[in-house]
Amino acid sequence: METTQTVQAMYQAFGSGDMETFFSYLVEGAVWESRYVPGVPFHGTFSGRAEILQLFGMLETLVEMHSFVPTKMLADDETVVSFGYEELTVKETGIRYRNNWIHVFTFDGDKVSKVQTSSDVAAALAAFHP
Amino acid sequence: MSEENIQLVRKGYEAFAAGDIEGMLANMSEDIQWETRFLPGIPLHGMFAGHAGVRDFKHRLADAYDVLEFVPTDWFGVENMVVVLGYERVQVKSTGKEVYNEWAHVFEVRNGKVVSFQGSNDVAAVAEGFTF
Repeated sequence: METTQTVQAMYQAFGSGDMETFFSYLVEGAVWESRYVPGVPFHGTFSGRAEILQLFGMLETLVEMHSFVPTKMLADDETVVSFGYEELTVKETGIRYRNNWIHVFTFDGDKVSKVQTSSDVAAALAAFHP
Repeated sequence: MSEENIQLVRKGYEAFAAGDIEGMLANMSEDIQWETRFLPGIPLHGMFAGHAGVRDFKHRLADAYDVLEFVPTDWFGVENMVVVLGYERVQVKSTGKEVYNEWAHVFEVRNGKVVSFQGSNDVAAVAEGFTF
């Protein structure tokens, strides 16, 4: 399966809450690097299924996601760089913001070994700590 | 086309590394939009417009960092877009701290010149580097 197709399938699985399918595309012990700053609850590096599920659980608890829109992907056999945005509301503060993100997927064979996300850190910080 | 664009960006990195600001600017449009994504408060953060903006950014960079390593690792070119992934190791002059930053650089090229640049970074690592 081409790398971009894998990433697209992962996004779809995530969107429909199909975690079995989602994790089938990740190697065991895959690393998810969520790049914000301390102070944003989803900042950190999460290794393996259990920790990544914790991150996703945190998202569900803390924010309401209004949209998740991948706009462009550039790829080769080992890497996918995915651009897009999401609109979310922080439940506790009621602040809604748009996050323009970049997701970098690194492949080990057919599966993803690492996901590194870059986000609008200032917007996230302001939404959690007005 | 995309191979030409990649070469243009490569030349820009080489010019920068050599301290050849004019050489770098020669490949940038007069109205280039240069955006770096850190956090407000970090001197390198923000939007810089035109050649004057890029000069300003380069001065801020020189004031802020000694660059120990600057390593592009992955290159992508599609249509007018060049994306480069890589890393840098820098020493922050004010604090003496060494920072390792994995970045993503996104360039738009039109008519043989860079018209926009966006740099995404390890904001936490860089912010820590500027913190006493």
